Amino acid sequence: MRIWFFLLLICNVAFADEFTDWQTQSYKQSKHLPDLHHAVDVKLLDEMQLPAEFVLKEDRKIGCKTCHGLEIIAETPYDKIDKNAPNFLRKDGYKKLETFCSNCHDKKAHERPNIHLMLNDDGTLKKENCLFCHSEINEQRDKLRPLVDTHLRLPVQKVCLGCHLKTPHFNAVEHTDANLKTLENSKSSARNMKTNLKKTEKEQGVHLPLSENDEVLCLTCHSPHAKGVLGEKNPASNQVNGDIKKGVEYEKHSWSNVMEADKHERLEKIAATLPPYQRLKNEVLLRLPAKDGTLCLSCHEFEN
Amino acid sequence: MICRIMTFCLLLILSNAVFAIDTKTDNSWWEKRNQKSDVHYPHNAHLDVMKQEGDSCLLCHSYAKFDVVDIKKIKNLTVIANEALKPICHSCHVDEQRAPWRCDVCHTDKERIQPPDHKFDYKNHHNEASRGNEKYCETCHLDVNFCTDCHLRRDTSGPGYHPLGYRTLHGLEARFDSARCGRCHNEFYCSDCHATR
Repeated sequence: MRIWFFLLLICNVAFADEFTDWQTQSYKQSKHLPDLHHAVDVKLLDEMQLPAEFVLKEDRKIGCKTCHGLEIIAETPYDKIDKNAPNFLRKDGYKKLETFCSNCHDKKAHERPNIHLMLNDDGTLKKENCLFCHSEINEQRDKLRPLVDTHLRLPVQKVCLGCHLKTPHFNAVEHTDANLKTLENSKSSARNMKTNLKKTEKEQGVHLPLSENDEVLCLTCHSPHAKGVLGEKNPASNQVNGDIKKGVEYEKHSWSNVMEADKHERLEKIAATLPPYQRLKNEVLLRLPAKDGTLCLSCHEFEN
Repeated sequence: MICRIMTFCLLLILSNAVFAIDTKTDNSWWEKRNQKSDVHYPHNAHLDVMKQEGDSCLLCHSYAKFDVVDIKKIKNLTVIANEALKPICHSCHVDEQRAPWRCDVCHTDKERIQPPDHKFDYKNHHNEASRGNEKYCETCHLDVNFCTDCHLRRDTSGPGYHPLGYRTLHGLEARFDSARCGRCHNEFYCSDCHATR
């Protein structure tokens, strides 16, 4: 570790003059686009119709000003661009990224089915939805099978990431980065997490799966199967009683302004904003309720 | 060349210092949770009341959906999102006082929350500030006893402000600067003893 650190230092000293960061340069200087950015200089098909505000370059090519309303954005260094400016993105901008894309792209054509709706109206399995994640369908649905025997098409750590972000919500990465085996050596109460988890499984009759190496997974807290997909005797079927068609729902809360005022100074330092403070209204596909803390307390314990 | 070698040596020393710190401390925020380094929040004591407030853990620890994909940025934001929310804590502990309201229940190191002017013998020089903006004092000093413990105790003796044995030794200081005594004590406080002798 130390050797790598020294090498890194030496490289930094040796190449200090040559090292440049694209973020301190403009697009015109670096020709670098940020991650996940739409390609530029792409010629649009004639049938693609854009709203009037979305200006194209000559030959119907996409340029910076097609999506951005800031006047000299291509000449401005990336770290000097005000992403909170109202016209940073045309129309609604970042408020809802999916709706921004559908200013040009057909929303219907890009919609994906909710594969978590796995039951037909008559209670039979929608097999095509099972096969989205599994290469084989398990006929013995009353029996709990280890994750390695579930014929997942992708490694269990990645199976959700085809559709969901790795950062779908706050505190997600903090959990999926955690390994309960490593934590057993911790000096704090974190060392008991795996023991607590196993105890909760027994007491509550639920399944809280970890990876083979005891990593926390999306599946540790979230059940991918709606109620009724797995047999009642299978602990993996136990979960909260939420309306899966409605999905996770939050409601506004008066503490939102309080939160904004309290954290404003710290957020300003990193030029970021937090989503409004909300309360959980409808929780779905969770193995235990999070609203009353049962899910969190299945692993976490406190000294006082 | 010499300059580069010196810079390298300096970096070597600094990196050793960095690693020395790394090996001694655990940088995980949750490992420090019980060290009460900033705000002490006893989780178990709050479990029931937070449930009554509507949500339990989620009351402070947000699991809201988020569009940001930059892991480094979202980790920084999550730390801020998880930090104790002052007005929310204070709504029970200070404003409504339906929870223990002594500052040191949560803020174990009072220097962290003390206004900067409270140093350098502020106890003896707070008069002007307190008369100027009494409400400001009351944002922290919620209990009126904080004032009266000194100000209304001028006519009774007892331990507290003066060191032990001061009753015997106060004569010299009283003669030297009697006005200073008068800040707290009225004339009867003296005469009650001195006149009877």
